[in-house]
Amino acid sequence: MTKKEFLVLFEEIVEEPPGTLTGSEKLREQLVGWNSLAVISFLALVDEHFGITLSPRAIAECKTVNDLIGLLNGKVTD
Amino acid sequence: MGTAKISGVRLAGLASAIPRTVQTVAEAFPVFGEAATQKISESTGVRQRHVVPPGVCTSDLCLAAAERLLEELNWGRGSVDGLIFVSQTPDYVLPATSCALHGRLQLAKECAAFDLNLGCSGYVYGLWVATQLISGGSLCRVLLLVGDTISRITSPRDRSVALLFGDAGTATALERAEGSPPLSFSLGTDGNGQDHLVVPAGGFRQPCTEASARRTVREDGNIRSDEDLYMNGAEIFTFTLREVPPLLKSVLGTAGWDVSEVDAFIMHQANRFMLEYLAKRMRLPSEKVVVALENRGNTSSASVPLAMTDALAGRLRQESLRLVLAGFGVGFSWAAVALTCGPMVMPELVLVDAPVASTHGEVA
Repeated sequence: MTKKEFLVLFEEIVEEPPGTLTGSEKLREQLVGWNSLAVISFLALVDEHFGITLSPRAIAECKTVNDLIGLLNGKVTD
Repeated sequence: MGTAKISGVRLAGLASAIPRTVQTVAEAFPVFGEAATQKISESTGVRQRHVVPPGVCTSDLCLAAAERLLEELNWGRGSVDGLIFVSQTPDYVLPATSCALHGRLQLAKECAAFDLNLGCSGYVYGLWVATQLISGGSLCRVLLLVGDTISRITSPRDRSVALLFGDAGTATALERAEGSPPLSFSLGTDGNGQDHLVVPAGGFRQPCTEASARRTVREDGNIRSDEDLYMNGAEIFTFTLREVPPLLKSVLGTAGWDVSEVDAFIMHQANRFMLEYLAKRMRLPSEKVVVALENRGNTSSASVPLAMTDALAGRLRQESLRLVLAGFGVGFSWAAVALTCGPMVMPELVLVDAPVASTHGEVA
């Protein structure tokens, strides 16, 4: 899927208005909606759309939305 | 994965008991804020939970369920030769709670009784052990008492657990019955998950101290002590994605059943989001997947039998149903069974007010 499509899905998870995220946002500092429930929704999203089971530890090490995209084995393209 | 197909055993009845005291989501508004609390409630699917008042233990709930069940089954107390208590919230470190319950139930001395220390997977592990003991010839009639009072080990200021857990105790009666349809089991363990669902202090690895009882702010922003339950939701979720689909595939394979031949899937009632996602992932028809935790919460080891009482009692009293039961979580431990049960005795849900004194019964 394209990065734009991914961001729309991600915006829903973190409850940001559609079309506002670019990817450079810092998860913990800038996204109020990035909480433990969001992490689980994200795990489900990635499993459903890409068939990947991410490790929560790898997710915890991500600082930005782009870092999260980096975990997806190139399945999200620009 | 350990698998087994066991014949000659039937489920004669199942009763569930819960404390009458209820806690609603609204009571947590002052602690976490209304918006945050509602969001959690929407995701978990829990709007209220039944919690024990001080002084009431899992054994009290199981006793109430067992008394009701024995009465409606018309089983003489002397005819019970096996008592298994499954819980992670026992009365004491020792003696085994099953022994105390044996006394309170006034069972005969020629009765084997022991505890089994498992949570989410506990009910199915209990069924596996009980059916093996009967099928193998050791026992004829087993009372399997399964329950937990997790509300007593959670911090009310830890949002990952405070709104989730309810209390319950259940009793299942199993007996030797030639010609009964087989039960197909699959069981497994992954000890690498031990830190993701744990009460760190209070055992012998980390004994209780003044410090262990103190509630402090943790890395995840929640407030709890080392004597409170810690739960890593994300790790548990990925664990279920990894292990539950192959688990269900395994029991269906052993039973020789297709999904379409199953009347209902009762999985451990951990939270609604996970249940619905697993059902979607495994392509299970949603009308066959029992989601019954809205007014009960996650009742740990009791969640599968309690869901059977809440969602299937009417049908099980009258019909024979093909069920798949699955428990998975703390340990990590997991187990599933594909079985045919009913018609069977399914008493109405028992509501417990206070510690239950055992009734005086005759040893038949």
